[in-house]
Amino acid sequence: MNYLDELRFSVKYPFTELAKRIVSEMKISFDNLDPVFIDRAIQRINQDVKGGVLLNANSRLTRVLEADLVSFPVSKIIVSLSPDSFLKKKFVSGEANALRKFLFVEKDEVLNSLALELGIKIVGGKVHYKSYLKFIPPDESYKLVYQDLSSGYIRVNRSTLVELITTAFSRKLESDISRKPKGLEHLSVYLSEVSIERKQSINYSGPVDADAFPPCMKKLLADASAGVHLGHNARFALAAFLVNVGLDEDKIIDVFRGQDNFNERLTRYHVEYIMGKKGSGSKRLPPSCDKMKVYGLCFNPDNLCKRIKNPLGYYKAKIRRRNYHGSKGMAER
Amino acid sequence: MDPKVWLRDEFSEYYKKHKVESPPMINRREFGVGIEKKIDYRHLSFKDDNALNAYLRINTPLYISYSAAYYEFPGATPMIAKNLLSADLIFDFDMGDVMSDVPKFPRPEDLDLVKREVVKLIEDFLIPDFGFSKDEILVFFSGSKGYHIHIRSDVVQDMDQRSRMEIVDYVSGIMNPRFFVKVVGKSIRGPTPGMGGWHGKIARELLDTLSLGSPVEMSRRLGIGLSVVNRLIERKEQVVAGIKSGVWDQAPVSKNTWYSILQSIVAGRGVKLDRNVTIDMARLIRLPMSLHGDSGLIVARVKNIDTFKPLDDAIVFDRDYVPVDVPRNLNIYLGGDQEIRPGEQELPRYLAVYLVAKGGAVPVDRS
Ligand code: SF4
Repeated sequence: MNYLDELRFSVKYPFTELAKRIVSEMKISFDNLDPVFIDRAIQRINQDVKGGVLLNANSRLTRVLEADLVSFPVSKIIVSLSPDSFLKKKFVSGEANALRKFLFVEKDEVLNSLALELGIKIVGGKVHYKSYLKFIPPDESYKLVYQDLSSGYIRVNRSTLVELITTAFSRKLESDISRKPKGLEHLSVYLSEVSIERKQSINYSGPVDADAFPPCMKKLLADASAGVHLGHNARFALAAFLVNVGLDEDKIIDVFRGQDNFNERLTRYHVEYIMGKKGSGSKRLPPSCDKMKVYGLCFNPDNLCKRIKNPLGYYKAKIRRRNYHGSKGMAER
Repeated sequence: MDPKVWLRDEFSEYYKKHKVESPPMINRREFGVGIEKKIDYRHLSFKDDNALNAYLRINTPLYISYSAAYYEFPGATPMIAKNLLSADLIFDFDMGDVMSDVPKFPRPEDLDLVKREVVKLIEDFLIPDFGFSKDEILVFFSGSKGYHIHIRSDVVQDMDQRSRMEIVDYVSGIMNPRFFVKVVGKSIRGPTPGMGGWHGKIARELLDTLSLGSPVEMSRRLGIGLSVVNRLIERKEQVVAGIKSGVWDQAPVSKNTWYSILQSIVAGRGVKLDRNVTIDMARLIRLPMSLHGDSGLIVARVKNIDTFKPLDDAIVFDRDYVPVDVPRNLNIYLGGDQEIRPGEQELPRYLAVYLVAKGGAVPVDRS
């Protein structure tokens, strides 16, 4: 590859060794950064929080490509200096979206080598189950039980491999930005130039006690508030659970506001359907624990889970205990 | 004489004569012990196998368990302070998972039902699908009503809870048949016998069943009525050829019938075990080579599962005679079928221990 091709590759895949080498050879001083890089980095973060950074990976101009490339480490530093976990999640998901687009049209050999670089054990188009499980995408269809597994390896199709690579990349990025780099605190001033749309946070005080939610619902709720994409079953389960514990309709709708394809009218329709205001006229229950397991949504069950059949039963049992034990606040474990 | 005191004396004598081999990295494991219950105390730790064996001889619990997990500080509380480093992969099989009424004195046939699940796990899943070798799969008799599998290989050590959950869901076949049989345009597509994982298992099982001569047996295995079976048999050749090439609409059955057939196949082939033990990395499991307080049998290492006979091979107490009082007539199957008549009598020590542990006899003090 000539320098231009290397640069283009690195803009698309800034996490690779090649990209890191190019950046280091550029001998950039982070104490005294070229404003071009800073501007591009701020723009990058702002694009990421809106859905995904737009990169000029096909440009012929070295200058443009270099700015795009360097904006990756610089934006990482700036984001890592923020205490805001919502910003961090949004940044990661924006970067992941951008990466996914490149991967979809990438050649198979390149996908393979990118996978290897991110620690995915892949041999002849088959992924070792351990790597697969480490980076398993959230949708039900990716559950191990549906995979073509033999002798420790899973035959994966392109789109699955793309998801695995994207997840591996996101994890790495998450961990990178969870640590504050030393000596670069001065870059935090640029955080004021990042604009992020915030949904108002949901208040569960009053009759609904989120502490008593079962582990699966705590997880779904945390994912939903972080804007992690939820599949259809996950949305139904969470909405039906929240309806049944008595959360207001509007607050339930707010829970789903962070979803990438959020549509208020449709969401309201679904919630009202579950509430029995639409359709059959009777309230719908969340799926049973058995169904939750089939959907891959039963997460981290605890001891109390063994005694209940529906996530709602967990909540009721927890509340009953809490009332019984009064202020002693018995801990379940 | 108080049965628990007597039993603990017997156990202590045993532990004085036999050293329990400690699990690898014993100083990283948490232990739990019990006399009244299976676990009265946990958060114990031992620095080496001498410390463990001294504890067994002196304190002599009736039950002892250890953690599949390795911790930086195994004795610390609360759990979070232990700092989990890694964990073995465990599978737990119990009679309760394969039968609804668990007998107090199990027969060899009852324990064989559990063993069948163990064999299924090893031969249908762990070896062919996950690629474990036989040596990596350590099988233990639980000492009472089941079996445990411990896998201590490096590959499992740093797996998180979610991965373990996926593995146990895989082997137990927790699934939705819609992901195997799909309608594509006007055609129904299904797995082919050459595929890996559940896809191949389902297709092969189906072909197997179709080759059975008996429609009644077919209807039982596939969980469908005889009329549907007969329709399948009428077009058997086309159906078989279709399944071999992944085209499942050669059969005169609907998509929904396929779903229910799949459900029956999976129910038969999935492994019945206690899912939570695999998922919960902080679980304590019975310590290999220790005595089980419900039976006086040993938590024996099973080297050859086909020939292992728990009700013979896990006996460790001697055959000399000791006096006990048996209140009620009993039929038991330890070391062969035997009927025990009520009344004060002398019984071989291993039997006396078994009966006392199960509350079927009380020791008699003649000193
Ligand atoms: S067992 Fe039921 S309540 Fe508990 S985590 Fe699983 S689905 Fe939720």
